[in-house]
Amino acid sequence: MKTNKISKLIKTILVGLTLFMLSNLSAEEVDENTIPLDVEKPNLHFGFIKLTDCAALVIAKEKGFFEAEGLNVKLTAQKNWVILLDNVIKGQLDGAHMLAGQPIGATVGVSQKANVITAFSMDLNGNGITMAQDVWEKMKKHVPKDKEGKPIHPIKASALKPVLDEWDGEFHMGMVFPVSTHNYELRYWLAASGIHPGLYTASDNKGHTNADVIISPNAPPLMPSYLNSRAILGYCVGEPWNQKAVFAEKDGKQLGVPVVTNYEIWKNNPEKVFGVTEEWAKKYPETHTAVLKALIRAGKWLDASMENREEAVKILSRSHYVGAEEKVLRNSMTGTFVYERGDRRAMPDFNVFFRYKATYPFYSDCIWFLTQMRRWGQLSKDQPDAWYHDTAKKIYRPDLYMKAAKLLIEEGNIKADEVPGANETGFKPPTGKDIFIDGKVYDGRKPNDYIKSFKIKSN
Amino acid sequence: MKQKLVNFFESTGLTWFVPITKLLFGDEPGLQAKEIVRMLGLPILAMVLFFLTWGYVSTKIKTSVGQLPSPVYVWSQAKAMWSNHKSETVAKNEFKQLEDTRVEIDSLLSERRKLEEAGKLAEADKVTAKIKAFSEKLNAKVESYVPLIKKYSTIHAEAEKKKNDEIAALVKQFKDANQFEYGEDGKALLDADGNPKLNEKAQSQVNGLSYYRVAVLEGNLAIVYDQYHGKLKSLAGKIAKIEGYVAKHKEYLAAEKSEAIDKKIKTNDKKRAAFEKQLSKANEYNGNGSIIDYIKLSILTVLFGFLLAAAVAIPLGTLCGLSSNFATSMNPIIQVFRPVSPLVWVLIMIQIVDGVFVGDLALEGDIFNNSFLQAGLTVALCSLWATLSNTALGVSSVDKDHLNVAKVLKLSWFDRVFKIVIPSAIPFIFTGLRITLGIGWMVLIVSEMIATSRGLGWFIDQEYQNNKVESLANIIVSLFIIGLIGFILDRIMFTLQKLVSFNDEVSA
Repeated sequence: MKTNKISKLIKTILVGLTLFMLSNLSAEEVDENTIPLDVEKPNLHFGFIKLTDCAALVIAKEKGFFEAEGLNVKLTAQKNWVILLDNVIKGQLDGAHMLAGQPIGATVGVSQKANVITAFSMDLNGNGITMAQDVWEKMKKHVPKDKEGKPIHPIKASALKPVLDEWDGEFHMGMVFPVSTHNYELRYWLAASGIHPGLYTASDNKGHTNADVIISPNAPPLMPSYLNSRAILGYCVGEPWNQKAVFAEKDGKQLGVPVVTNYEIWKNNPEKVFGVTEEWAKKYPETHTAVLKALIRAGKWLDASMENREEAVKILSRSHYVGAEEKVLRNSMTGTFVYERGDRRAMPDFNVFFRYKATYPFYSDCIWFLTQMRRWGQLSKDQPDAWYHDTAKKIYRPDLYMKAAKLLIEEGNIKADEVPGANETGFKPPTGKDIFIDGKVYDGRKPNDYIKSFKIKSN
Repeated sequence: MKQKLVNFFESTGLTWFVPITKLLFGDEPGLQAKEIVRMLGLPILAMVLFFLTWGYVSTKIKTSVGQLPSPVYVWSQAKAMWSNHKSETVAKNEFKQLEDTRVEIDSLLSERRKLEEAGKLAEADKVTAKIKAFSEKLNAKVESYVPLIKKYSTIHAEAEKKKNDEIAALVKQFKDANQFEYGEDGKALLDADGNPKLNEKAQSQVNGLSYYRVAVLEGNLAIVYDQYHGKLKSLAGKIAKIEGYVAKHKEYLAAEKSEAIDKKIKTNDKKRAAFEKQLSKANEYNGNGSIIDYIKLSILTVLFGFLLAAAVAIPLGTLCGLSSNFATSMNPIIQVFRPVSPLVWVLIMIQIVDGVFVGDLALEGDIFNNSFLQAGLTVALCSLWATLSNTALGVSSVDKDHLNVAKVLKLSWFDRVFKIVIPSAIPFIFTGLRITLGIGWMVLIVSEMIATSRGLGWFIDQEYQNNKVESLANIIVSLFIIGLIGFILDRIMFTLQKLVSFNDEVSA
């Protein structure tokens, strides 16, 4: 009864807020100080996948940030990551919401070969690993509890190991794409507790060699269905597909239980980027800058307040954007994350769209993915450190980002301290012990040392 | 008159209208009444039973996204989709008006520029006055949106509140009656918020209420008007900035000459030129379209595929029928390609079309683009075999007497084929075409889904990805739309077939 009153109150407030915001939507604040650019191509078509972290693209369109730059943008949800990348490479899309690994995988040839670059990081964090209900019940016994009997977070894969040892048959898990952050995060989480996630070899491009857990790609919106049909027993995916499993039911209980988020695996990890082909960026430089300006402003809007996040939830739940119910989106975008039903933990940084300089494309982030590609065998040859640095400089383009950022600072739309300064090297400092779930130190300047330091890796 | 109507109904296969017509003309009322009961009553009875069964089953089946949609819920979603279409029409209209406004201001701005460049400053000032009047009109229009937005969002909010109140009252009712679900340990199981969960029966009743969307049209209109309010305001803002730069330019000219002033004039002019250029670029409609747009594209695609299939299959089939050697050589190819699933063809077509029509050659029309071609080719490739076989059969079974007459009259090959063989084979060809269209329509949905051509297939895929009960209901609505359109297409072919079939029996 209490929740009814509260939910009724919340609903009334939200209705009032919506009315208030709708009647006050002023595009004046949007292009008050805009420095106009000579845009070569005003009509653009971008793609995205139905995930909450496409928010920067959607907000840039819905709140008029693209409009202010003279851009007319069409957004189309793509069927899966393969088709999305394909369409960008073929030129049917001007650019897209991409996994941070996609421009990298495309450039080094791990996925279809093409020169894809990125000058904008769309968000940090935002993924979770969800296990099937019955697997969680078994895992729970091995998770240390606090005084109130709640599981202590972060939950390491060491709770899964004994379950695997007793498991009858193959243990399948899902992620979204061979060069996705999800693939590397899932593998990192498993390997940190001694579970072998499989290697990629010359004869095995599925990455199942020597695997204790068999990991395969699936489309994000379909993950809960595959969990339901037991095709997979767990998955690593972005939101809202973890919370979907919390709301969905099997045998009267929640279908899946999120056990850990990628925020807990690697605090403030890079997740999605806005990718375009190098040819497109060369052909339409002013357009690209205008797009980046709009996206940076959208990112800032998203992190500005909880009201903005609530409005974003409403917009994203429309059918042609993410489409999931508002209550599902709200569970992860408004400062908390739900694990087991009733276990809602504070996580204000589950989605980071702008703060902590989240939108800047750091070379060290790119290099981490390259090290993991080498670690698991997707890149089969060892390369000197310089190769990693040079490759990162080809793919990640902070120079283009700073061009847009400078204009925004001049306009007064962002503050100079919200973005890196002129002496930014692009390499984040070596990580402290509280950043990775296993306390490991990552220094982007020394990729080979980092790769060698892992126990479970390819030869 | 009566006979004409009766003939029309019989030839189009709408035979249930025949007794009604006869009844209206007073023809043997008793007999006609019996016929009506039989021809209309029985199917209606079957449909009613079907919907009742569906309604009952939907309360029993729980899908992975929620309760299976009942006929009532599916109907409400169909209405919601229609409301989406209406608001989409409003959006398209708004877009057109916005573009017209942009074109108008653009012509004023370029007129003024030309006058300035020609040195006719006094006349340029006159245009500035026109632009000022235009701006005032535009600002008034922008203001006019505010009450509209308020009106529709209020209606929507009130409808939502009413619905939520009803749901809350129902939930309270159940909670007061302790209608919870208990686990094996006797404790109430928890729901997603960690509160005691209602039992199946109670929950499904609550869900039944909460799934329904209310005030869909008003909610959509509030969003549309809000969007275009923003866009018009943005346009007005840009015009205001341009006028600001024009005024500043005059200020700078009147001020003391210096290098700093020159620099300011340069940046000022650059900014003005950039904004004017932005307003000169044409915009394309960037909305998502409505169900009617998807239906239109699907029908166009299937017709394209069908005509392509006919254009390939009829000549090939004729050759197969005329020359048994040709038929023998083609036979293995036909038999191997015929059973291939559209999923395979569409994936191959995607690669081929994107390889041939790439870069500058890429087809980028609103309707005729690469995806359309991929889906259309797949439809053609899957459905042409029926026409091909039937044409071959029809051509090869031309009455020997007719061919003998051709020999006697020493007709040329051309005359023999086009004046005797093909006309005689037409009933067979049309049988084949009817099957082709049927197969084509079925194959179309899958092809559109994979080729991402924005028709019904694409819509269904997008809805499926949304992964909730509402999307399931939308998919069921699409199921009926697909069925109805397929039925209409088949009826059209049936009528054409009957027209060319010399009173032979045509299967219904």
